[in-house]
Amino acid sequence: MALVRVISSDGAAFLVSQRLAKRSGKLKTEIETFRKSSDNSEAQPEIRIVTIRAEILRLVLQWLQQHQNDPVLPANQNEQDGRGDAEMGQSQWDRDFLAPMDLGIVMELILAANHLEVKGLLDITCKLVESKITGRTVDEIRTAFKLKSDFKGNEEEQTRLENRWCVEN
Amino acid sequence: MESAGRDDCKCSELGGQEEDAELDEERHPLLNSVILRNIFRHCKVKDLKKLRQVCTLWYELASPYLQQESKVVLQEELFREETSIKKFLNYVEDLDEAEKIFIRNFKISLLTVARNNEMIVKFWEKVGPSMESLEMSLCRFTGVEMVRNVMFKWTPNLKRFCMRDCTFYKDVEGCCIVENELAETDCCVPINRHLISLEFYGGESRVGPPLTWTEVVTAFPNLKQLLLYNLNPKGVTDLLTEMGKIRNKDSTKLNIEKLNIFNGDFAFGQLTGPTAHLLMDLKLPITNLNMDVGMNTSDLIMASILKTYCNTLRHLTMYRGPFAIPFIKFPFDITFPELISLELAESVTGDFNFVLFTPKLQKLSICESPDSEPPILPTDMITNTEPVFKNSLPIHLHQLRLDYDCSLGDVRKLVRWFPEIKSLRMYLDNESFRLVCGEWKDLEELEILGDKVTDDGITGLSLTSNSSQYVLTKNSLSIRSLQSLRVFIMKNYGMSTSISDLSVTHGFLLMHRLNHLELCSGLITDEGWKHLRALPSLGVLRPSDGAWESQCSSFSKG
Repeated sequence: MALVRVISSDGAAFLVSQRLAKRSGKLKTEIETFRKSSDNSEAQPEIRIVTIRAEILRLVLQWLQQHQNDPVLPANQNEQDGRGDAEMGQSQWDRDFLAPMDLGIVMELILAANHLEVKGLLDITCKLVESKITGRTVDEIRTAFKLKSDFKGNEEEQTRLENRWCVEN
Repeated sequence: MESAGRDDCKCSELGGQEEDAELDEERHPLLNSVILRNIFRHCKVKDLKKLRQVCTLWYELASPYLQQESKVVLQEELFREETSIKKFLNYVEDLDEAEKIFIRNFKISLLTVARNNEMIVKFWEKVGPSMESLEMSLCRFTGVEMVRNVMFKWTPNLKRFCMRDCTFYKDVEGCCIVENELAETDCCVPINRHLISLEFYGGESRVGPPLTWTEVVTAFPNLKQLLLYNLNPKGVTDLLTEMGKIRNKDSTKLNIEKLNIFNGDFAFGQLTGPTAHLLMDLKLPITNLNMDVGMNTSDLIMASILKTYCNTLRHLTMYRGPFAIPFIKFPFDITFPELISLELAESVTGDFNFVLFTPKLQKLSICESPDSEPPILPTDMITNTEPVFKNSLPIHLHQLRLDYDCSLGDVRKLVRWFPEIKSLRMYLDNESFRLVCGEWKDLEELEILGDKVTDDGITGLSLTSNSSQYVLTKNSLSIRSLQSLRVFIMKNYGMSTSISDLSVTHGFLLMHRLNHLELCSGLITDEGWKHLRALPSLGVLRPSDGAWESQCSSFSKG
């Protein structure tokens, strides 16, 4: 079985099958680039991911392992065309996978899924954060997530006026 | 690449006891544009409106999604001085520059567009340039010039235009413009290269805008979507002819991908050879085709059209006229390598063998025209299918809509042919419902038509009489077997089904993933509706069809 070494920002190495790694758009490109530039077709690719630390990389690989037989979703898939809907694709395993994580870890996972181009993981993590933000008032969002209003003059009032005209399309 | 360290990510939301110090703005995960964009793109209008009020970064990132997903609805209200159009005009007049109008999508109803109405002309001149999407419904145009102004002159940035059931008058005092009464072609109308979608609904009068197709298609050379409903067939033939002329000169123009034609009365008609040839000669890159094929259209003509477009089609909808004879051997041994969804209404085919020619088919709908009864299969499609399917591989269909009555034996065959169904709509009785619960265990959406599924079927519990006493028997197959079910709908042409509080208590309340429930039953008590309303996982609860709305609307949510 062809393997690839994926190294995290803090130096932890993960040895995974190339078949599994290629389910990440980014790792797939890196493996193919390595193949083209390498004289030795047997050589084992080594990919350094300088923006993702070991704990997060392990979670991404764990998710990929669980979903290795799912159809790969193109990054820009139209949801009406197929099963691109995050909710539709979310399994009990996904829910159990995300349940113990705090928001910080989920945020890092979103960045990692985005960087490594793993659409399914990106969808379910974003949905989770969305569910924690929506349904709250503006002030509740600011308080819960320690965000400050930095609008000037009548900008906030202007936004409220615009909002008044907007209805669901 | 923005990366947030573990410690930087702690938010009071989850930790509860975390440090009170302000988070470093650069590393706050919810001030990271990559994360925010990915979250905001899932959000609904009501949430986006709040999100853009949080801070300037959220405003910048959420606003484009709100612009895309929302619209402003304006209509002329009879006998009212202060109409929504007037109010909107007052609002935009208070803004500094025209570019500051935030909204891009507009739906305008019941408006009279006339030259002598200064307020209306002012509205169009001020707001028109901001419009990217415009739907005009039940509006009156006085004078052809006003139609041209709205379609071409006042709205230079339109990307989508829809005109629904509008009426057209020759001038202010003039009479109504009727079918086929078209103005002379104006060769100097401004060209709008942004416009990609054009929809015309002719309504009962079957009248579209009183302009020649030469003028319309010349003005919009980059059209990708052309949807025509209830327009007279002659108009459609003229359109195909004009499109042909333009594409013969320059094949990069009018590359239509989504096409809806011959809709409305045409189901009773016949698609003739010359018209079919016009359509075939266009050689469009069609991915979505929706058409009435006509009750007398020959197999040969239909096969020729499908053969022309089989390689690009992803969505195909075909309506055959009522009482028509199904095509023989549909789809005529033609393979559709990319087809994802197929909707067939009335008697298009006599069997299901067509799925052997659609390797990527995910959604299949075999339906009657809306609201028609009775739901009896026009021909025995399922029986006719058996011999060919016997040794074939399973088909990877995810969604099946079958608006016809089927026997238990029929359902048994469907379960065998299409083992991967996740979304189902069909007529079921208690026995076939149990079969569905046992065989299609991964169902996520189920819509049951008719009134033959009762409390017995839903709950698996039934009282049977055993000599002098009643015995409660429990069937292991019930709605509880469908543990992935998110959406459950029962519909019976506006009449009540017989399910009661028993189905609520021993069925729906035990379905922990159920998020959307639509029921029509006069037997569910207020208490039953209250229990359902209190179910936390349920985002949408409503009476289907509306016949029972007065009784239970107070319990609906979502």
